[in-house]
Amino acid sequence: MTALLDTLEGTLGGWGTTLLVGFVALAGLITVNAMFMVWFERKVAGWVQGRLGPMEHGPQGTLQTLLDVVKLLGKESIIPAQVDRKVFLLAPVVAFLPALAMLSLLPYDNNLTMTDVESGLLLVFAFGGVSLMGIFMGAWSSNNKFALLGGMRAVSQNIAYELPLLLSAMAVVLCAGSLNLGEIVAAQTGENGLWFIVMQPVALGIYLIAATAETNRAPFDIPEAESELVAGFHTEYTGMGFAVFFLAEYTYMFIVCGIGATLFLGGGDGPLLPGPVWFILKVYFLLFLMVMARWTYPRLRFDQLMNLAWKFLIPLSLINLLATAAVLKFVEVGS
Amino acid sequence: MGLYLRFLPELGMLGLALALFLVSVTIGGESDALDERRRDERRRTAAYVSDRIGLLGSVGVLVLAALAIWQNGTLFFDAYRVGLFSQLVKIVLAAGLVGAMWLARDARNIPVRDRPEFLLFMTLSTLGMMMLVSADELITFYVVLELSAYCLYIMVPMASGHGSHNEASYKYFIYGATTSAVSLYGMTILYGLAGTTSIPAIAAALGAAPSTLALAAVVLAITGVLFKLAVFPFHFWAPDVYQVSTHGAAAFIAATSKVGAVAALLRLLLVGADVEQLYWVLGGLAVLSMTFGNLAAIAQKDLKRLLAYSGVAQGGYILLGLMGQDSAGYTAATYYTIGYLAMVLLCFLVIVEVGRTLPESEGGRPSNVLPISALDGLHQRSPVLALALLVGLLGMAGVPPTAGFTGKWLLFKAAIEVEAFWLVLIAGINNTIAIYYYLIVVKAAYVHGAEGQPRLEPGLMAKMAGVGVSLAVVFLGVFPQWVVPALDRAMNALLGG
Amino acid sequence: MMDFSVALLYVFSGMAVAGGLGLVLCKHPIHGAISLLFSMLSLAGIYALLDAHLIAALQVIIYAGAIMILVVYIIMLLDLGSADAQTVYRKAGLMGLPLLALLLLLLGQGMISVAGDAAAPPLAQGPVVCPPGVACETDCGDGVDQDGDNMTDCADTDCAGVAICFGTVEAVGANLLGPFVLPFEIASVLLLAGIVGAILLTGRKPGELEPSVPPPAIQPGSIADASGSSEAQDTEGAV
Repeated sequence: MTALLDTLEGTLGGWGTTLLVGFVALAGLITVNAMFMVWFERKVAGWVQGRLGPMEHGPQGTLQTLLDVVKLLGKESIIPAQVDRKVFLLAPVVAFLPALAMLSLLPYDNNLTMTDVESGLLLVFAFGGVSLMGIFMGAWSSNNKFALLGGMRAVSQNIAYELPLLLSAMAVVLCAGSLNLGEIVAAQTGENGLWFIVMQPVALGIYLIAATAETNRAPFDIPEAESELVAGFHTEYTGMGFAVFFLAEYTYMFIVCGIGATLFLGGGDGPLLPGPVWFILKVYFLLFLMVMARWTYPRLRFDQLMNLAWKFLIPLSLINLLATAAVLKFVEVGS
Repeated sequence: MGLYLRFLPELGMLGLALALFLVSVTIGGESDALDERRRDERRRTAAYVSDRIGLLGSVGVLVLAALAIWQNGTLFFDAYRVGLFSQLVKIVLAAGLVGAMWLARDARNIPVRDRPEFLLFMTLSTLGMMMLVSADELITFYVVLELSAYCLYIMVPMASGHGSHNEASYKYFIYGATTSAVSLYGMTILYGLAGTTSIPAIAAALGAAPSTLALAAVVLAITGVLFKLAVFPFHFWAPDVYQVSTHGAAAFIAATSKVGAVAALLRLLLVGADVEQLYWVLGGLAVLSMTFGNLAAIAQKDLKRLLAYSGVAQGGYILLGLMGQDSAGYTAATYYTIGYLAMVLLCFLVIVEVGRTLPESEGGRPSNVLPISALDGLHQRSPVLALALLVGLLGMAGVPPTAGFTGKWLLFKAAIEVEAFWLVLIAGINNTIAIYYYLIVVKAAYVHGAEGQPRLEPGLMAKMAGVGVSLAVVFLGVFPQWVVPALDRAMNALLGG
Repeated sequence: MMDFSVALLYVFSGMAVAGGLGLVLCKHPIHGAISLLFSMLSLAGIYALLDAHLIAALQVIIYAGAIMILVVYIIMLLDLGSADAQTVYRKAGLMGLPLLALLLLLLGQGMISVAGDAAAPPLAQGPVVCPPGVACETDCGDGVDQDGDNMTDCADTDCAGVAICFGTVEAVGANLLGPFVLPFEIASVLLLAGIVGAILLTGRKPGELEPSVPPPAIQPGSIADASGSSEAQDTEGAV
């Protein structure tokens, strides 16, 4: 392994090696995560509904998704005649690329962050906004009313829920005193460190709800509500285009849960096991919550969705932020 | 305490804005629990209260501004410079706000429920202008420029409930946004040239290394202000906006905002104090502006449109004073602007009073247009208003003994001193043209009979205001020595840094 | 070999310009908006190269994430097709091109004349030099508040020009609440005005609309049309 890295460094230089290794690692993470999540989700669904879920291929149906992927890749990519070709083809890429950047910002362990920047948290949210543009481009260029409706819903929903998401994260930032994800973890793991889930339970609740909505997951999945909109913004996508949107969605779920684990659950902090393992475990715990939410709650209506964000979550997160700031100031003055 | 005193007028304005905002959200707050009648009652109460608060508050601000006149120094890390110039202009602005508030006190055409907000925007816009005068740093300058402009964009379409007014509003907003973007572009180049956003520091940097790029940057940067002044290539919005907005809003845009624009221009031109070619740019704009404005005004049949085009021409005269970038010219320009404020307010006083008598049109809503023929026989219907109109128009035409005459004389003198004789010649010709169309209006008021015209019953306050402001215009014209030395000192301080 | 970051700078700058050109030249508003999005993202890249990471992130969140989305949303909501955008471009181009050429000339000339004497001073690497007689933060990286003004390291405006503090959250915050506090605060007044204005002009409930009246008819061929005004009696054309 080291020898391989040395050879690479010899030919590509330090920068190139980091880039290449990082890229390969992220691509692996994205694929494995998506494949696992599809299987996991179907299994949990089966468990919730008292049935078995996929069982045919491999032990407990573990190979089912792999075969699904092969099937998907083998399918013909149809580009309908009336679409805006350039935008139609660009859209999945725009939706997916930010995910790579966001994954590279996550702190998998102390000192295991591919791009360690000072305002990493902000950058993650920033790229999330860009991916929304991809969804929107896909929806519009499809020239399909269901897709367009889905796209419009996605935009209003994402804009509405981005505020509580950011505001709840900001409460944590106030506690940690930094926007750097590594330092936020460090603030929770030091000697007197306390996971922020203890100090910021309200923020965690808001964060999880808003994150579920941001990833367009049930019960907030109105942008792709099958029963109303066929498949929402990706109605017209087939084959690879669809696969990329699909991949992006599962990657974003991983990312929001990764941020959640970083902000509230101490990142890679934990006894016995190495940091990255803890991190992944926490992420999948949060993902499990999201999956359970999907199979537990019915889909919200559009107005209920908007009311929840603007009239409840945003005021609540503002109050939380203000209270946090006030408490921190008093503690600072007191000490 | 001294620090607060320096910021006193602005604090007053902020307080006034806050009070109006609170009225709008408390008394004027809508509640579904109320039935239609109660809701209507509350709206009327809110409108009444905000009218009173607006008028009294603006008078209060005028007092505060007068109290703060001798303040001197900087605030907010040198971003805000308070001196005789800024304090004098703030007094004028506060006076202009009082006038506009009074003219707008029962604007028929603003829906009752929107009245508190209408006054709020007027206040905020004036606040923006007041800060514009003191802004000594480009980012501050730009933000407050936007504040003063944005509120005006909202005030125009507020008069409407349906589509017919929207064209003017769009025109105003889109031209405004574009010029403000151009302005911002110029400011970024200035920052690039000087490496700082402080106006004096930029002026020094440009003086040390003059270049044509600096000229381009300054010209681009003043575009946004020239737009507010409605100088020739940026005037397109003026006639439409004057015509369709309510008389109160039009008065505010025509009078108070012009004072703000001139003062802001003086402040911003400081960056180009050593850019000599500005002389030609400003001179060229002056010629184009007066010629175009005057020629276009001749053909107007609507008094507000006529005033708009005459405003374009007046902007040209004012630029005459700025082209030399010396204290004499600045003094003349400011003096003229103060006189112009009073004269425009006089005209709008008449417009508001006469407009009240016009038949309702446009589907049961009062109309905002005021054809010149509506003034027929004004001297029989209300001699006081006719006199006010006469003084206002003759003042703008530059007839002695009004402030308009003295102001023009000062402007021309300042222009000759910077060797712009050819410009003064053109301005003189223009002035002759201008007298023609002002006299058309005067003729309607004094020569035409009053047959078939509705009765006019201006209130006591209106009469007093008419007489008072007319006297002020004449007084200002006859005794310039009461104002000019103070302005001169202010300008010297401004130019001296 | 060129420095990697310099190469990136050229890439981002090229993309920004290309995006801007795309905005102007694309026939369809949506294509224009997408070009603008790329322009905005490239600008964020340039900010990041300048070590202003916070500004870069904010640029992406605000411009690419929020503003562009809203722009596109509104274009779609109004269903603006490419047909609406093609009418007057030629004339505008004829007028705009000379102006553009002039501006480019001036800018180019200005840049060449300025290029020699680097306008902005380079960021300081060592300790901060205090003005005589004034206490200031001398070491911006030690976590100690030297001048006792309760602002440590980068949070102190004294450190604004120091390399390790440039573009950090602390430095930007200290600048916003220091030298630029006035525009920062006045922006809130401006935003308030914006919110009230938006509610006022759009927020009327359907039942509360004024009685619907057809807008006054425009006389076909009237002078008003020529000057682009549908208001009554525009006689501008008579001049």
